[in-house]
Amino acid sequence: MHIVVLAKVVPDYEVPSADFELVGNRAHPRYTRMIGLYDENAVELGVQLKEKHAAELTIVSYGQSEDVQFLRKALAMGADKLVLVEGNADDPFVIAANLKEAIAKLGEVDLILAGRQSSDMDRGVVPGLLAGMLDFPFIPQACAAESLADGWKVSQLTDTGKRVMKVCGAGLLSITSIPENVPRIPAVKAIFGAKKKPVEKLAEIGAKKMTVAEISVKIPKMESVCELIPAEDMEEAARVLLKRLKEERYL
Amino acid sequence: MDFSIPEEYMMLKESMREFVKRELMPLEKAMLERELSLWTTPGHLIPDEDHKRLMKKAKELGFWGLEVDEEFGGQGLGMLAKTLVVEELSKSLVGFSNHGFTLPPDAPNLYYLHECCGPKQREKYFVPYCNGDVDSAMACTEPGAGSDVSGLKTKAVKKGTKWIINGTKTFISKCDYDNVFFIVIAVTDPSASTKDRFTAFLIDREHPGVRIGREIPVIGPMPTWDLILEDVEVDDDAILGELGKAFIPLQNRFGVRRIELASSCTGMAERLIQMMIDQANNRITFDKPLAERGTIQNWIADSTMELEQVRWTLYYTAWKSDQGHKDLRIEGASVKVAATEMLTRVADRAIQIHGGLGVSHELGIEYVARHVRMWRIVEGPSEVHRWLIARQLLKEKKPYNPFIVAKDEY
Repeated sequence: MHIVVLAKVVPDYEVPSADFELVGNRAHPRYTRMIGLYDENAVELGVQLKEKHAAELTIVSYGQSEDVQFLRKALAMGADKLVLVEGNADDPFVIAANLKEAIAKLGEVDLILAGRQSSDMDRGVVPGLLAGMLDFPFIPQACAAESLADGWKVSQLTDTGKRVMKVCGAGLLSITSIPENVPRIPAVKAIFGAKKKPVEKLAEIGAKKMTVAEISVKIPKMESVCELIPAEDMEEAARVLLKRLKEERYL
Repeated sequence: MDFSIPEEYMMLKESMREFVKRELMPLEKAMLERELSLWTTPGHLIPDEDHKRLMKKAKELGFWGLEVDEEFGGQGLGMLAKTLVVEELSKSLVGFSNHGFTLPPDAPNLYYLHECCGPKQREKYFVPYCNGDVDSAMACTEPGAGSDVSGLKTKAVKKGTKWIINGTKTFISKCDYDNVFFIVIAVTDPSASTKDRFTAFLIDREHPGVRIGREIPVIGPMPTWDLILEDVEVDDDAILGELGKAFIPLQNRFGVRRIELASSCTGMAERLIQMMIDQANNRITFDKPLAERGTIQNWIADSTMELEQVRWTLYYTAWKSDQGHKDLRIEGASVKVAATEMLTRVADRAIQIHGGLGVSHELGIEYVARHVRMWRIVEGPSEVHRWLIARQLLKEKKPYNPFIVAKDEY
């Protein structure tokens, strides 16, 4: 069994968006880089499946050469090898086409996991596009997967509950976070073991871009205005607060 | 010279940071509350069940014995790796306090034991110590002897095949631990020079004649007790190392301990500077954020300069230890003094920038301030360390030489 997890290295997602400094519509290079939030959930699920089924687990990424140092965390979490397609396109078509090429080189793949969306662009488009290119069934917002004799039993998190589905054969799932797939902390031995695991770098292939052009990127500044509610006791304060909130049409 | 940090070390830091975030930060509030209650109700700084869980998780993650050689069940990664991890650990109040949560086994005592334990002692103390099954405490200080050990009065007198030990120790830690043994320093040859006068004995807390006296409340969480030894009878087996040579291997113990203590200070200083930055950016007084005021800016800049100066001396010292240098007396003394005095100043500024909240018990900065006040005394007061440094340089008639030429790879 061969499982692939897609991971993308992004600028520090813990920086509040309003503080984010942009250079040429993208994060300033001074920000620390790390594997995307949901991508780590996908890696965790991948490692759990690997442990359960003695599967082979490969991380595939599209990004810069320096991203390897951050992607290695996925190896320390338990993945077996890393494939990085070197490129700096932001276009989801180009990224998906390159990932498809890299995955094709891996031979037979039984399951592909991806984060539900990247932690920088937050588009969540690449997994769907890639599934289309690979002719794989695609389940977004998945949170768990179990191996069946002829495919996978997949749980999908919806706004109101959970849906369980059966995928025949191979599939591509984009993963959302649940307590069961909180990424494990890499153990000391695994960290030092990760450096010995194979890393393959592939050159980018040319691919057709989406016919969409980015005109501008803007992160709105959050403003907070403080108004003190004068009141003698809590009950009165609550009443005044309610009145004010209604006046300002927040309620 | 290469100041870049190995990728693995960076990942180690990351892992510890995550451990701190998930496991230690949630315990902070409870720990601060417990610390207050400890004045009247004896107990541990964090609840026993939490401590057990932390020990287990830290072991699973491989954080036990980072700098301890693999043959003793450690990771064999050396002091620099340990330093980086302790810095991260110490960004939480729980990990900063050496009575909250520390990474076992306590390496300085471990190396002391390793160097000195005979075969029998190795089995009885050293192996369980490596596994974290027993704990050890140094029992040296007495009412009349601290840094100046020449005043030690505890005597071990040989009668037949037995040593009879009598004396009173004070400020002895871990007396309330489940399985603890003491490394008791006693006078074995009163007429000898201080070099040959003292011997170290390994003595179990439950040994007949050993009595735990009163607990000594101090400015912060440093639970210590008086330890009374009345006609404690032991064999030659109890002697750790050589007769009359208690302090020679002890010197190496102190080097490692001081590196560890300094990393606790640099880690916590970084956290306090973060708190200062947040407070400066968010707090508005007289229509301006604190961040725009020169005094505040100076506090943040000074704290940063002072922290980074200590940090690089610390990394250098840890690195030097990893290169196999055993004599780290000057380096150990320097980082111990520099780090504790640096954190004293940073904590004081952090309190001041937070105003009333700064001295409140719930924010925790005053906890750091009290704690580091103790650290300027324990493990040798600053003055003794300065004396040690100066004495060495004056004796050698040369300034300190920090240069270690890179080894050629043949």
